[in-house]
Amino acid sequence: MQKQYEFIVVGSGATGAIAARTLVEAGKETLVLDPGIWNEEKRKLIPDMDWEAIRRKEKQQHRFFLGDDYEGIVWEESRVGSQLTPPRIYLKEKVEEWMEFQSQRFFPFESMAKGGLGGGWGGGCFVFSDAELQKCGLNPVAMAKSYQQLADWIGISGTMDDGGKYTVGGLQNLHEPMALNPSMKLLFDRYGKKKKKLNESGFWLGRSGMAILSKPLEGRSASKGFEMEFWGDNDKSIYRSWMTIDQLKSSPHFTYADGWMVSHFKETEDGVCVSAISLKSREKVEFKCKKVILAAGVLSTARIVLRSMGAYQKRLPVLCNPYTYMPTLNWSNLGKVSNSNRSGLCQAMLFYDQNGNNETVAQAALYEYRQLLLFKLAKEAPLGFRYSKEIMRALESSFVIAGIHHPEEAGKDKWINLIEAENQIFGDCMQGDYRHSALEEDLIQKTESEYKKALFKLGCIPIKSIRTPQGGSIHYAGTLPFSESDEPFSTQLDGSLSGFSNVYVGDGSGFRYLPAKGLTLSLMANANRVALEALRTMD
Amino acid sequence: MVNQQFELEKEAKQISRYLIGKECTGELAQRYVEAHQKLKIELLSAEEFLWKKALKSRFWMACVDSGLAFIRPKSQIRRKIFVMLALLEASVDYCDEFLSEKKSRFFMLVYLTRQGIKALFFAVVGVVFIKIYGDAKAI
Repeated sequence: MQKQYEFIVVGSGATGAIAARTLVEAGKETLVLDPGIWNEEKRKLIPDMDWEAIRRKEKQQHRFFLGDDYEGIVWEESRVGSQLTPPRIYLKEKVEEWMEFQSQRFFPFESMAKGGLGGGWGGGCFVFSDAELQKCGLNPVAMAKSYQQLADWIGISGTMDDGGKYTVGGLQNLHEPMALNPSMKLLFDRYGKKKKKLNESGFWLGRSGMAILSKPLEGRSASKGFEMEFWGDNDKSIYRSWMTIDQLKSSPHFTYADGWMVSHFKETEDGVCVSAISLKSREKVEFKCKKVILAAGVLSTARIVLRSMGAYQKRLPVLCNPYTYMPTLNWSNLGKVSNSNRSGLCQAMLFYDQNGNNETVAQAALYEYRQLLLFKLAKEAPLGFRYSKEIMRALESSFVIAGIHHPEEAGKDKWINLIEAENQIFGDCMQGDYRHSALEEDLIQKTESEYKKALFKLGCIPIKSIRTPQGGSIHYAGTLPFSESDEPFSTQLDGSLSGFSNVYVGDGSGFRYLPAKGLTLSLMANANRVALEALRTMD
Repeated sequence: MVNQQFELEKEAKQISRYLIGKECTGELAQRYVEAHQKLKIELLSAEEFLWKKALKSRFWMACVDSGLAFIRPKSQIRRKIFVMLALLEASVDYCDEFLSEKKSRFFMLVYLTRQGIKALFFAVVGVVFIKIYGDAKAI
């Protein structure tokens, strides 16, 4: 007779890993079902040296900077996911084959990797305000406990500066933030001088909360300031979901089954039967458990739910933050170069809180460019490559890239559905559309325009403003929105799927609203909360 | 096949002379051949004439590259140069050509102005050449 687990968690990404840890630490027999795609080869190639030492000494650098198939030399127009560096390209492996998504306007990015999209996380940690949590449909008191649990588990560096209320507000036991890179220090100096004017227009500058360690934690090392965060994470100083999965493997209560794509579930008299297909053999197998937590990522969870309910053609809402790139030039840093102890991660956040109530806030993450290599930048100028390279090289130390996330509400033209498609592995395929209303479009443009003015005040001259295609922010939510009633295709406030007693939704499917602030910490905190709720009903 | 490889290696060295002012090593030229094959870069027949002209000297490569950057930035000719640029940057031997240097702001402004003027000059000459001569040959 097949073993019945107490819990099955579907997915090993940011939410699946945290749900699993919560259950395993409560002593529950837990199985994680996951496609689990992984690439150890590239990981081993990257030496334990800082970025500039690698550039000067490592003869094999082209293998991880450009890739063995030169996949890092992208000539075509940038698409969602094309910013992945070769060591991270495994994050999108097999996705088109197993999870086809058809749309003219919505281009979501999904992953079948061990650790899911969390493998490419920039590490930004943001605690949503009570107002934001309530708009999402989340209970601020329950979330506060889970936020703190997460801070203790993954380690968050940060400080209570002017941006603190938007980032790490309320969290205890924070790690010291990394030292500021010189160009970022210039921004903070300038902010100090222009603070009054900027605050009056609703702008606040602060350090980002970051899931990066400044002291060792649970077998992970403190960051050495090697500036290699977009290429490798061998020292484990920045948190990745796969680290939790690997850590849980030592527990007798935990089983990680990789190579499986979950198809659907069925509630039975004594629990849930979860059907999955083997990636290798395409064999179909059923796994039994008392309760299941779906944490496969918003779109995959929607596929599983719609398939399980035979609800083809049923439209579900979807949310994705609009995203704007704004490259700027900070002239005061022209010709200044510093090579020691740097971070390639975002070090400064510029928040736009127009109403001053921490409810509808836009956020811009401010990055330097250096570690992503010059040749990609040289392609962007309408000049011969020789001159473009020389100009970009001279300007490189002054580039500050603002990545602006806009808050997002649901709308009638933002939807996904599942249609039958015989030629697909599961016999179906997901479709979707994503359009903003004229009013929303207007608001996004106004926000961009306000950011241009604020960045200018900080000494950063905006060069252009590039809106990524819908789906480009890689923040998705809202397909099974939280509801107090028991209407189908919604999530109950305790995280259970409406109409089911033993099926829980642990990812962002329930969020009715998407704040602009980075989503990952809140997703993980919610996964912890949902797992605790599921445990409560078990006991 | 051997002949094609030899031609591509020669091409790599010529592009390298244009991009950084010196010939690349044989090892890097071979990497260019490999990248060229893996990325399946093939010139359109209309681009053959311009590419032959570009390979004649650094001056002509600057004209063709700069002109195309303006007229047809996604040309396969530019793609060849772009691939070589990436290979040069990701190699120990030439990283100094790509890493930023500490200089005064005044120096940088003068340098940027000089590079901008050169870029503009080659863009104008390149556009005129491609419009009058390159496109006519292609037809």
